Amino acid sequence: MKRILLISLKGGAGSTTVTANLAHSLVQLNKSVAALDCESSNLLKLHLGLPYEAEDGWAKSMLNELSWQDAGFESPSGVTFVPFGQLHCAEISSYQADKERLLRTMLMEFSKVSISEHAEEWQLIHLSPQELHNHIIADFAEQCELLFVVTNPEPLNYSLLKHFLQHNELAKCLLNNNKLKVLINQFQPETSVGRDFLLIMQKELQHLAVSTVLHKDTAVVESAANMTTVAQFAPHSQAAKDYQSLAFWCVSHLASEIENSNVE
Amino acid sequence: MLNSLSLIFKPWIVEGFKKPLSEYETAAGQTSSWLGEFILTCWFTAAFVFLKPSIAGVPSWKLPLLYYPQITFCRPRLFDPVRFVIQTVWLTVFRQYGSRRFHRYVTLYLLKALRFVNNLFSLPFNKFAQLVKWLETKADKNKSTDLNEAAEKARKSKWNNYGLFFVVLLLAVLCFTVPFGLVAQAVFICLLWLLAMMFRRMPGRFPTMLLIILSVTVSCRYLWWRFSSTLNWDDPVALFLGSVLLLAETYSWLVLILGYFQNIWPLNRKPSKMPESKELWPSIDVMIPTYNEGLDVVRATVYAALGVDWPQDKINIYILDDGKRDSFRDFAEEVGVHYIRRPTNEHAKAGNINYALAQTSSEYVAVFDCDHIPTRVFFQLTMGMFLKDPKLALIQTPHHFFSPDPFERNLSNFRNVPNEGNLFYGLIQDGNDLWDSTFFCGSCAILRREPLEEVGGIAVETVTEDAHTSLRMHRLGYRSAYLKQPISAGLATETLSAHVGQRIRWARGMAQIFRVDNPLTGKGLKWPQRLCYANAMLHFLSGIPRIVFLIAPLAFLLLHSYIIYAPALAIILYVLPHMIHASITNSRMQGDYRYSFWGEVYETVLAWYIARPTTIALFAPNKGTFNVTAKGGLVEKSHYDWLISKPYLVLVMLNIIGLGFGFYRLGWGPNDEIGTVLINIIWTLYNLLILGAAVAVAMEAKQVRKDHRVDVSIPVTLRLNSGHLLQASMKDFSLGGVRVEVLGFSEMQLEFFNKQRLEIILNRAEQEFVFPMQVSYSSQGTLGLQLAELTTAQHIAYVQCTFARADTWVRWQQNYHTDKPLASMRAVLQVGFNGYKRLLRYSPQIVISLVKVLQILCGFIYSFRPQYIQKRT
Repeated sequence: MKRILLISLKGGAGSTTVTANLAHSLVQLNKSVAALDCESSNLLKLHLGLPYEAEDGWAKSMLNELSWQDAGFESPSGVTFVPFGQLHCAEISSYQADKERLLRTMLMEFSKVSISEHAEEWQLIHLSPQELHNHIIADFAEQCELLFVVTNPEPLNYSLLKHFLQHNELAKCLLNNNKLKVLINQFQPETSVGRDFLLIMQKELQHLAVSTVLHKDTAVVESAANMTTVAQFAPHSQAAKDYQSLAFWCVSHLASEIENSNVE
Repeated sequence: MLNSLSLIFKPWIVEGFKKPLSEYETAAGQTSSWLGEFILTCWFTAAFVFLKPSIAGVPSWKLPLLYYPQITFCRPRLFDPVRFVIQTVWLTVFRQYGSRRFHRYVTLYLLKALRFVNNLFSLPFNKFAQLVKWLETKADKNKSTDLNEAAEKARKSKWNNYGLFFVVLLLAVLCFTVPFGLVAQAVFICLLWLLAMMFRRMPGRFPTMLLIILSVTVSCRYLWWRFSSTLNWDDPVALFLGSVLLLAETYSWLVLILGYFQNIWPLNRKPSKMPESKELWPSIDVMIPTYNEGLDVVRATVYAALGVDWPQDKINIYILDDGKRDSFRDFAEEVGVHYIRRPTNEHAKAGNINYALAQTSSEYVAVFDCDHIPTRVFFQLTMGMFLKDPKLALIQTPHHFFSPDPFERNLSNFRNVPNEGNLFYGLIQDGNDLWDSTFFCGSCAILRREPLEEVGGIAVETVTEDAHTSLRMHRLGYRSAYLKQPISAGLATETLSAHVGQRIRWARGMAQIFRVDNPLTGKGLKWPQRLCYANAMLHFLSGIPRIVFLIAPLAFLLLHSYIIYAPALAIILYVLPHMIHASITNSRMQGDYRYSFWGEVYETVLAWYIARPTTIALFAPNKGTFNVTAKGGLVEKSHYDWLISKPYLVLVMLNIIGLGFGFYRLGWGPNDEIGTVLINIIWTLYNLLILGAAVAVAMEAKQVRKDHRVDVSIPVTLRLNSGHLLQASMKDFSLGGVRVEVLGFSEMQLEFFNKQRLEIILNRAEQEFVFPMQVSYSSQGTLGLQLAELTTAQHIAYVQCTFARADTWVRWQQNYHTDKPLASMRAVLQVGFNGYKRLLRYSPQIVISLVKVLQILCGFIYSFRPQYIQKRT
């Protein structure tokens, strides 16, 4: 079981998109992938083909004392996923009140789930920026192989990232375990500010940055509009290739990590 | 005709004849004439009335079609009855499809024999291979031990080595000179040949050396035999002509032996690491001399130099403009490089560089011809060696060409057959490196300023200033190095005449050095260096010997003079092993850089032109001028260069006359001469085919493209104005644009891109650069893109992403297959044959008509031959 957490430091960096597309690309590499959306905006489902009207999700089920397993879905591309669920006013406040317990239970139970006996199992867990200081996540991260911090090569993300790496407890603990990787998304090579920030980030982060950089590609937006992933919608786009190489990177990186720890 | 049959037969029978008739017609590819229809109708009727419907599984009406393939029954020709008679006799007298069975038997027995030989040799082969492998590892291991210790050891065993050397020498002399009878010689050469065949299957350097030993043995023996027993001292004409041939052969032998010595252990240097701290990196002056080349050519080189990975404050780029052009000055100012113009023009390139040397001051001087584009790793890969060895004065790197040279273009074998320069830069310079005699080739090289100034700058006494300069530095005890990595690339000469002109200059210059500053004499050089330089110079004296070989058989065929005074069988027994061993060994040593027999073509083309200048330069070294090699031009129309091929056409004519005489002697000469005549005829035919290749090269193929395209396959990204990014693959690039393959679009959709503007994202060292492009055409899944207006920074980046990529040129060498001597010989002879065919196309009408008549005549006679019939089943 390989478990990856994905988080961004601010909204709009693209962690939801990355989760959905990476999940699909891993499926294309014959992995069995389960994705969990822990962000209350509940957008992951849109990338994976679940219509707007479908409100099911683990948080909604738990609040209504139903089994969250019934809120699991499989996307047409073969990704098993559990959406957050569309919460309404009252539900939101009760979720906020009991968030610690619910999140912890969900993470614990989800991590025990096994969906396939044949293929290698991968879990992608998408977190909201709000959980950056949540100690539950810090505890849970111990059981994960990798945390992707999704960021963009631009000044605001850059300063957030700097702050995060220097002062955040979660970051410190994961850095020690060599489990934190910065994933640069929405790179625009045609702008010099994009190129400059990419260069600075790569220079400063060194091996912390994932070598695969994801480009800003209109095909990504279009694929969301078509409620699917970019590898499905526009297989010849650069974005599809980016996600494919990211998936390869994950597979080889985690394989070599395990090898290294075995050697030790 | 058929219809008239309905008077006799019922309509359905006549109807049934129509299908066979049409089958005869399709077999012949013609409609039938009235005569044909008549004959066939008669046959069909006869077959229908008298024969079974089908005989041995074939419809009876079809039999003539099977048994008389050379006759078109539906449209009989005048002499078809004769052919019919011949084939009938053939069919009745000879057993058919026998040849196939015979063929099968032959191959079966050959295979058996081959397996037998194989088994015979597999036992010693395996043992021997193990021994060689052990030696090889031992030799490799020794590298790691302390060099001083090894030197000490060698000094101690010096006398042992001398003793051993003496014994070996004695044995060798014995082996070379002992006279054998024909049978003994035959056994001897068979054994050596078998050994050679065994060695050539083993990998590694030691088997190569063993092959060299065999080849040297056979060749020395051959030469000894030639000197001692093949000169006819009684016939003065034959003696004179024979001596000329013998001298030419001695020259070839000398070059062969020196070549073995030179290339015995190519050094294959690896780059040394640069120190971590950039403070220690030295400063470099990059000099780009130019005289009459176009600005476009120079531009790319300057952009590439600007983008080289080296601290900006430690690299100074100078355009040395001998053409005194203001456009160059303005360009230099625009992109921020230095521009030096001198008041005079004396001593051409050497003078140009020397003038610049006086005005610059960096520790190192790199020289790039204005059409040689350095890749970005150029200095990082090379400079480390200078820092490691303070006595190192020169690092030379290969001249790699991304455009086809005239040979490649006119024979259209670009990137299939290693080109002419490949041998020199792939093997010879690397071999020289072992003996510390790599020499300067005028471009793509770095020199240490101090020794360069010590020898008075670039030498101006000869027209090959480069080799002369390095010779002088070697004399002062400085070292040189060669790095066999294609880390720069340039344009090859455009036309054959320009190519020949360039080689004439080299040949003349080398001959001049031989006179002015002979490497064999004078002080400072070690003896291997003397030999390597001498061989380089000897190589350019090949003109006269080559011509001698091309006309030698005529001495016998035309003048009936026995220039090799020996029985035919003896000649075969001595010459063949000499040639075969030389060929096997050279193929083994040079196979990756030059295919067998191509050297003959290259040498033949140049022979006539370098013969005169080298001879003149040898006697009067100060005559002759420097001519600049023109590059970057166009060949607007395919044409035949009659002027340059004139000497070859004369040689062809002579050889054809010789061939005629040969056949005359074969038919009407004395019987005891037949062997000699045959040898000479074969030699003449070989010469003719090699000359044919030389003739083929003179057919200048059209070259209209101004910017040379470089074929690659690199993943890139296209960016549309809509913000879509598309995966694409760059198929080729040039200075003006690129061609990319895009997936996932139909032809119609691609056409939609035409004339649109878009951007292309190219990678370089994990950085991405975006260039504006205009789509100029679309076809078959690819788009042709033209660079739009770029800024200087973008120009630099573009050259960096294309020509100056570190990995662009590396793969080219790897693409060549290994040499197969026999296949290569066939290819060369084929080229020679095609050369005549192409020559014919450009010949005067009368020649074309004559050949056509001859062709028709031959075809006519050939059509009478009886043919084997395929076995029916």
